[in-house]
Amino acid sequence: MKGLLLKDFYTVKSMWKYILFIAIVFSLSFAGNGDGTLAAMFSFVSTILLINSLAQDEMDQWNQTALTMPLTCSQIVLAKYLFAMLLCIFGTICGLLLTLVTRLVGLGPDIMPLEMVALSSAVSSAVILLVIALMVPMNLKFGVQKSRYLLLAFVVIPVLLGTLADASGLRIPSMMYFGVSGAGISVMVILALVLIVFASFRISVRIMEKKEY
Amino acid sequence: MSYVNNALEIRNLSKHYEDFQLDHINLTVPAGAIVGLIGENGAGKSTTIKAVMNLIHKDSGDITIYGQHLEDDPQKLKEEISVVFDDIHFNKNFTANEIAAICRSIYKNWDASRWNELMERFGLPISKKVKDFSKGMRVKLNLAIALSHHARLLLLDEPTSGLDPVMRDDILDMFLEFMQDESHAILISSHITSDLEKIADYIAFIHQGRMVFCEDKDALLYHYGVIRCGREDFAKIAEEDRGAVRRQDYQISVLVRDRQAAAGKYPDLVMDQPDIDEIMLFYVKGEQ
Repeated sequence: MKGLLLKDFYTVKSMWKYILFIAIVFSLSFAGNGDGTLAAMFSFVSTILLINSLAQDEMDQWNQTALTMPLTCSQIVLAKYLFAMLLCIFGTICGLLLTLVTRLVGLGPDIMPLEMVALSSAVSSAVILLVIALMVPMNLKFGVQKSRYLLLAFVVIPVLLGTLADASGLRIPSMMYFGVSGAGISVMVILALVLIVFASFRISVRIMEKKEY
Repeated sequence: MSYVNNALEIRNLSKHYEDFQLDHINLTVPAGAIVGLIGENGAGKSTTIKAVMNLIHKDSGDITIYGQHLEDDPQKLKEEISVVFDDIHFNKNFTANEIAAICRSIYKNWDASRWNELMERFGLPISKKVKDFSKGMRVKLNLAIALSHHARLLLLDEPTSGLDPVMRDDILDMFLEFMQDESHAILISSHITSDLEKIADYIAFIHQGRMVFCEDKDALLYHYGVIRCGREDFAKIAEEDRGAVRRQDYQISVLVRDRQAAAGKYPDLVMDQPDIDEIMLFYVKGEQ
């Protein structure tokens, strides 16, 4: 497991110039907002790095070699999820810290309460985790190239449906409408996320076990 | 550890694809032996090696490594096997040092001093990116990885292709050195049959997914013979003596399996000693 994570982080290390460039652009663009945008953007970078890592593996035929080593499909897949999640968490924390620093030195507005900044970052991290849970099995099944289009479809279709629903005056009722408290909603979201990530992991392992290299 | 005579045993291995099938392959790699796997492109050599490592799912057949099935204890057994493909499958932006750090975390038996010794012996720079390595250096790096975790069985898929003769010779010496331990074994697929003639104990020939023969190399080279003759002389050769026949414009070549017997039986005919390439060509292009 450690070796697999090390491999992915060495890939990240080999791209440090690009990552630094993106971090500077995002920081200059969003650090002054004083809200959770920068944390969201930083955590979003984890999906780019995950796609890059999966594409690199595909190009190097890494999985073929990995499976000749004393590694199981579960370990190889788990390492990919851990890699993406660690990057997502690291990106969120860095984004939050930068936002906090800009607010403290007076470069960013402090209109939004810090709890709200943290909450919005948690929500964006949850969305990123959901994207990761979609990306890993899709990439393993269809390869990086096809998965890009599929992921685009997964994002564009709900947005289009939402826009259409909005235009036609349809409103999705809030859970609070059914008497569920804010804390209850949070618990439900966390549980759903854990279930989705676990199901995604199991599916990914199954795909890898069935695949031939 | 109990002593097992065979490092690798493949029994009736079959795998069916739309346009190709591996058809009941039987192959044994005894401990202490090097087996050379030959055959044209697409004959099934790589598929066989992949099936050993469960990289493809066999339709039927039984494969044991040192008497054990890979699926029984894959992690333990894979510690004892090294597979070398024709190129390195790590990110080419990594340095040899980084690759070693990854392998050290994966293999329990990783031997850092052996790795350092091999890197020095091969003259490989440890801090240079792999993308800046030549083809030969990448092959050597692959071999250094394979030989640094005390594997007993090497599965080599075209490891010397694209290398110059000097570098190939260095690598063949490494294989012979590896074989100093009699529990070690090598299965090596290669198009360069001259390399196999130098190091292999047995030659296995796969043609269109079928095992044509798996024979002792010396027996193959010293027992087989080729009679070169014209149409008239060809008619004198008994049907049962014609292993395979190749007809050319100016002569007919006949492969015989017992050169001495054939020389006694047909003393007037010209008899040559074939090399592995020629024997292979008889089976692929000749009339059986």
